Amino acid sequence: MSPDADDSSTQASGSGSDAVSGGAGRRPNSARVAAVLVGLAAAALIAVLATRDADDGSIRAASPLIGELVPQLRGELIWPRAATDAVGGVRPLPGVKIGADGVARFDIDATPRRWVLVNFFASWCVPCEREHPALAEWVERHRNDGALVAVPFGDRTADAVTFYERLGGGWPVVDDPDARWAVAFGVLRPPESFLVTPDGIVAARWQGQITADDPDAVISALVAQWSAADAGPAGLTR
Amino acid sequence: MAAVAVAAAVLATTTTQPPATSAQRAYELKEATLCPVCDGQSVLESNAPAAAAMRSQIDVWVDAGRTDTEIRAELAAAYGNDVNALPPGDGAGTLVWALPVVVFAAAAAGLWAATRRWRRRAFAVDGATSGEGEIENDARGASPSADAETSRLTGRLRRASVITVSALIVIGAAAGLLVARSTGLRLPGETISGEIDRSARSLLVDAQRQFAANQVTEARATLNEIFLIDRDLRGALLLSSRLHSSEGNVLSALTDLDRILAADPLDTEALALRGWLLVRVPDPELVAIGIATLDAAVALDPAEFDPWVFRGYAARYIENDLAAAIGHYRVALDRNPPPAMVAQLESAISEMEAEMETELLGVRQ
Repeated sequence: MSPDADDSSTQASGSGSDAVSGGAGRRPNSARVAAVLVGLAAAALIAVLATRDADDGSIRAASPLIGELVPQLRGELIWPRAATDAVGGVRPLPGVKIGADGVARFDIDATPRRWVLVNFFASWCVPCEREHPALAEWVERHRNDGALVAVPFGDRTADAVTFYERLGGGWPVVDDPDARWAVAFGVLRPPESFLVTPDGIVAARWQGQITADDPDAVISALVAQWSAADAGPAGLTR
Repeated sequence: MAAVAVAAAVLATTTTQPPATSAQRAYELKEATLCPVCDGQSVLESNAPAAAAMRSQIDVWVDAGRTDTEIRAELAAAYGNDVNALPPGDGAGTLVWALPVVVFAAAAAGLWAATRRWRRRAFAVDGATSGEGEIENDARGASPSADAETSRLTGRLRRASVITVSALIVIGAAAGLLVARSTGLRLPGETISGEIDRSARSLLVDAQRQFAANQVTEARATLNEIFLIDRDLRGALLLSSRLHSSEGNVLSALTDLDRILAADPLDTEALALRGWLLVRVPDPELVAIGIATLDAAVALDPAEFDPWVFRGYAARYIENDLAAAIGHYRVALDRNPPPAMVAQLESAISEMEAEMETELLGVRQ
């Protein structure tokens, strides 16, 4: 810095004119200010990037579905394996019914008073496997006011069943052979999760691995908002 | 000439052959749908799972006889309008379709104006040459009469070309809009999703909100609207039954529930509500049917607490079987009902336990 300034001042005095000397003296000055500003900006950028938390993988994502009525997700269960497990097991599964034909089916419209978490997964997807304990934890937390339903995406039914056999899971998995539900929800890549309010409105979407706290943060924010507005949705007050 | 060219361009873009087979239709739809996870690939070309999912669903929809517009609207409703490779024919998207036509018309107009000017200049140069002899000298200053005539001619030509150019631009813009309207897609907001918004299921959400807010008349009106679309929508029948029973209209409430049970005899919610209505009718025969119905609901071991509460109530007040009532209430508590219900059930259980104890003491003495 200082040698530059000396250099420019000798140049300016060398030219002999006071006016020119003033002009030439100002230009390196403004260049110095600009250099300092750029340096500060770069340092700030580095500081921000260096101190920011590492991404945990889940992103609250936009979706045209948010604020809309949830697609009427329903279909035959591929998990739990035996139809009787689904209804007559240790604990009946919300939204699951055994039809007159003896087949267990899930229907998202038959989950009154419950928050529904719709989870799209694939057996080949590593974050899905890592996410699995978080799903189990969320189900445990919301035994009485929540329902989780999983849908395989971009996967063979047999592989999806094997995935659940290996990892377990006390919630229904709905078959989606024609990708009907994946397309209805606009799923891009697994894992992807949607939170549905008790009266059937899509409240949030996550792309990537979620924790049990992710949906719960949205739930408590919405419940606070509703109690503030003093008019909760039908599903909560019914 | 330019008008004919514009008309030809419009015709070429608006009259396209409809696809011959449904396979071809599906192919064209896949080609016109962008893969949402890849850059600039259509779902036809992409190997991404999302694209595969969209392909198989497009096939299902085409086989089911859904129209192109419906299918595109469905896709846009789930993935956003960006999956449409063809931009929409309204809003800002109009520009995509209209601009080329407008630019073409403007270019034609400009070309026409330019040829006119060249012709005029050639004419003016000819006049100057014959009148003066020397072009190098200042022609305008040398001959005032030729100058006046040239400027008069220029003014007329300029006026004519301004009119022609603006007429061509107007024609071009109109043609552009025509192309946009016939070629561009309808956004889901315009035609299709208006229909979707009035679907029975979304009306049901409205009705449930109105019922929760105690707007009985509005809820009934919405339900009537739903029944015009779908007479058998389970949730609507259930809500209608609740509405009837809250108005003391038990018979209509039962009719609604019977409609649900006709479709699914194992519907626990309908069974529970039906039993609950019957056990409170002052008629021993109907009460017996009501208890049997509640037994059927409870036997299905539903995830919801209501049937157990109803069954416990019947056991306590109708059958006077306090032990059974306590058992049912405990199962209901295990399906964690809302806090207010928990308090009620717990106090009922302790009341009954106290009652049983005094009874037991009475028997001993």
